[in-house]
Amino acid sequence: MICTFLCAPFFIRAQEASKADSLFAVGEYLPARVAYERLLFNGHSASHLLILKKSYCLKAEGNYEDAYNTLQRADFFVGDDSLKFKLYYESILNAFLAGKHDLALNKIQELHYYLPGITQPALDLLEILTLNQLRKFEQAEEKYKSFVAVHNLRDDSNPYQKKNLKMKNPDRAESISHLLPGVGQMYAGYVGRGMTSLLIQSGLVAFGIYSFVNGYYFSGAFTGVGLFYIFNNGGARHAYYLAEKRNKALITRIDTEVKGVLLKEIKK
Amino acid sequence: MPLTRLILLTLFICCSSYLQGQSVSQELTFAKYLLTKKNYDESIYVLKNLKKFGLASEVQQDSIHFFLGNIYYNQQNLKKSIENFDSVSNTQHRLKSEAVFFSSFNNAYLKSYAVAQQQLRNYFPVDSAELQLRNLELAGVSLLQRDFKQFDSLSQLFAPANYSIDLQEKNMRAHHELIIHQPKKSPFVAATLSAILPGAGKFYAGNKGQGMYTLLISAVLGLQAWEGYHKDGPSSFRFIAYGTLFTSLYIGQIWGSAFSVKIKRDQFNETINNQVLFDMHIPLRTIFH
Repeated sequence: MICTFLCAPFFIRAQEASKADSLFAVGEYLPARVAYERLLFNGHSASHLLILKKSYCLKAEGNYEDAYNTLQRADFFVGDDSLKFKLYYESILNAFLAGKHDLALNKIQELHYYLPGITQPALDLLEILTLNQLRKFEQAEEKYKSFVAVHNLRDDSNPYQKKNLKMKNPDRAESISHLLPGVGQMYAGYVGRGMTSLLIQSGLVAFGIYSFVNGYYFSGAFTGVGLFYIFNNGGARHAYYLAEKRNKALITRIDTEVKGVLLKEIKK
Repeated sequence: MPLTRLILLTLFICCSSYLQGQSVSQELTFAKYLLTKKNYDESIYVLKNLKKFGLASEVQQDSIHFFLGNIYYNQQNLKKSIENFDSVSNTQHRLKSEAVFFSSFNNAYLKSYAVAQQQLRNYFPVDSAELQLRNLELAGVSLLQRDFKQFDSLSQLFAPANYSIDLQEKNMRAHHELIIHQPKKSPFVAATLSAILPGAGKFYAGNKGQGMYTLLISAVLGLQAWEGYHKDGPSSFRFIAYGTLFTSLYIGQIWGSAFSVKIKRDQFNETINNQVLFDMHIPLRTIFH
């Protein structure tokens, strides 16, 4: 009788935990989150595991930032290494998915420091993608090459070859466009847009000169020079935007190539 | 024998209702814990379940509505917040008073001034602090309604008795002064000024930057139209093109100047109203939280 009473809370909590898991399994993420949080509130001993499971719910709902913040409630210095690794991995993944690449890299460095021997292919891929997003291509390439070598992967084309890494400097694109209209857009890789900008601005300058020569000073100054000034500034800002766009597209291409090679190993 | 059964049955009913009460109370504590952690959707889920199962006593139901009112208020869902605050009954004075003041503030925020005023007038303060707060809130609502007569009578009741309300009372008086001394500008005058000198009406309305810009653009287009007329004559393409652009801008800026008086007045009223609402809100947070 006494044993029954002593064991009752344990069985009730176990039942609640299993109910939360079932809710998660059928995609009832909000009730599952509440159930995990209730267990935490009631002082369940496996708090780290509950936090991890709650973060799975939030991640499944696409709420990556909250998932990351939930994981930070766990004490990363307590528990076995496998659980610690999962907490770190999920923190990194959610930070990456939330677009907080600095935080993701910070957690990766923390993980390598506190759990030096433990790694997984998925973590390596995440680290490479994070480094790409932060434009730390040298470190990313080093990590990529070591992964390919360790897992004996076939790598026909190195995603980090020089032609892929030709990042455009947005400030330079803007400056060039001020001096040579349209050339900044061409430098960013958008020749058609550069030509259009060049034609419009040349036309305005030509109109200005023509007007001045024929004695239409106001038209020359205001329509020719005035509009040229406006289009020149707009074109330069556009060149900056295009250079940024180009860089993002390059990173996406590198990411796709890296994933293409590495995912073969991860899916094994 | 039947007596024993009756006793056992009574005991069972008493125990089960006690346990139900305990479990609702635990759930309420849990909902409050979620609320303080700002896990609003989880807290709403717990509270709605409590409401759905209908096991809560009247006092507990009040707490449920009060918490829901608070959560929706934090989520800026003011209509639902009002709905829940208004459902709080009189079982606990502390909850009721906070619910009334916050519901009234929400109504004021949603421009339902008459309702906000009615709620405050129907509420009977239990101490001097609540009375002073009620007067301040009512004064705020009367300023939002631009009912200066009522504001004057309420502001006479302002008393330097409570530190957390004193500053807001002073601010309310300052807002009142600003509203009554607001410069009254005429759209007709603005339009006439702009017809005489492009941009002058906007300058008069208080949009100095826009006025200067309009004058500059009008001058640029006007000079080019004049140049076309002077050099090529009235039927030239150059004169027709620039003349059309200038005329469109000229007519448009007259209309725009008249309209800018109204826009400027609306902007002023909105800014003042936001400041009044801010000064109504600060004491609520200080006193109740």
